Amino acid sequence: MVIELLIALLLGIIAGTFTGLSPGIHINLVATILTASLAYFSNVPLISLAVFIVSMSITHTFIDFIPSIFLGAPEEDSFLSLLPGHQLLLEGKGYEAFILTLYGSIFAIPVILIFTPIFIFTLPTLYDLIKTVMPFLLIFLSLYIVLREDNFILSLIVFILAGFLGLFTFNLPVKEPLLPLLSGLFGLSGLIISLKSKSIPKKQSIVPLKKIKLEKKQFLRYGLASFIFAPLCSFLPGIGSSHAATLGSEFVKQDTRGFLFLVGSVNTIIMGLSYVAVYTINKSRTGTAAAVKEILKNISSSDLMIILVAIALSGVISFFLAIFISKMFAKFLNKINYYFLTITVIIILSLINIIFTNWLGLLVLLTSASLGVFTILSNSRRINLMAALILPAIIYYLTN
Amino acid sequence: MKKLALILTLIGMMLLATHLYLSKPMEISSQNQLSKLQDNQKVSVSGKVIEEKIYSTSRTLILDNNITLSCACKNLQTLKGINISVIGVLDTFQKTKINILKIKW
Repeated sequence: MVIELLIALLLGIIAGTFTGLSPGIHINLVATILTASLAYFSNVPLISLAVFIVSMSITHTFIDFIPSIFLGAPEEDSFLSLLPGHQLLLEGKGYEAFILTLYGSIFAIPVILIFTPIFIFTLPTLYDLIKTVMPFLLIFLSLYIVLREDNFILSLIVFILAGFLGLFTFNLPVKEPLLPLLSGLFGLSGLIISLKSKSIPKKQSIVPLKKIKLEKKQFLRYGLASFIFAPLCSFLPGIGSSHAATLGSEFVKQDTRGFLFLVGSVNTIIMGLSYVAVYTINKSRTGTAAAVKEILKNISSSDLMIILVAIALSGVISFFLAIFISKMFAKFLNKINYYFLTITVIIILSLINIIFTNWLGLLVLLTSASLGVFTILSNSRRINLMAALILPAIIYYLTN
Repeated sequence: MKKLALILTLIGMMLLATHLYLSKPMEISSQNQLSKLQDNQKVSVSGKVIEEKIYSTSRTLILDNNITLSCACKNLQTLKGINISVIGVLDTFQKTKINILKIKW
């Protein structure tokens, strides 16, 4: 049994590494394929299949910042790292940027373990209260995002356009709606601008881990922000790591390095706690948690213990694996022509969209990329584009 | 380039809005057809209500062709045994069903 669990854990880490490095191939896709083919795995203990999914998803949250930071090709959970990550990449600090997200991800592991008993004892009673408060928190966040900008009329225009784009996208029969929406708003738009500006990153430096540090104040500030907002956003539908990171970053003094730590930690905390939420309130917030729920039907306390061990082990292994892979990426980046790489990534992102979405998705991609380009050229903060996710979430909570 | 980006954004949004509000619903006659469609696809379906469940804020109807419909219409008269025509959107969250936009009987 233990050997089967270990094999499942290692296979999960390999699968998570693959999905993390491949923008467009999401863990939910692998989880869906696995749950649809359960009949073929009748000899495998169900808990081993669950461990495979858990370790895959946790590894994915550690690795998926690599394409986002080094290539400008984001995924649903990592796109917020793209902007500060790219800024550091241009300074030759792409590796450092990634390591900061990795610090956040590894910080998330003890946070998940701390919040597990808190969730078990409080979530059944607090769930409805937090669900009621959430839309008002998001409305406050929206007003704050718009009004804190110097040119708040421009900010409002971008916010409204992005909000409506999100509403249209989530109400139309778009296949994989998040893929074209986010890769247009945050991926393609930035790549097109970097082609135009011909900005070439400096040679990427690989500094020792002990030299990549967060100041104590930064760590406390951003650690606390993720500690508060990530668990809050880990069990509600329509609210994800991007909402938690936006909430967290808007409530603390902003800086690039701290923000990278924040997005890394939030991403992993939400993924890990989504399994605890399934156990506690029987509600699945992530696609992989839904898959685990479907596989195990009723999650027992011993299942939860195994899941938590899988989270911790896969987190530690993925940490070292991610360091190794990111070093290879940084070295690779030094050897190739960045202009050529940017064009290649634009083509790959477009191809991924052509393969995984439909014609409506391609229209969303074109529109969102145009809006992203307009936002960058207008010098409006790209956080306004988050309205594409915030506005639909507000409407969902006010109407359900 | 800034102007071009804004123009493309507005054109794209107009096309998406047009599709959302003016597209014709797809006619559906069986549950199997639904599995081939995307979430949020606008569909039209007709049939006799064979089962009706009324909840505190919503109502679920099952038609004789096995299609499940859902609406926030708890105050309507009972529809069991009545032939109805519905325009709605496909929703596969948790269970495949059609969320009713318009209903006629």
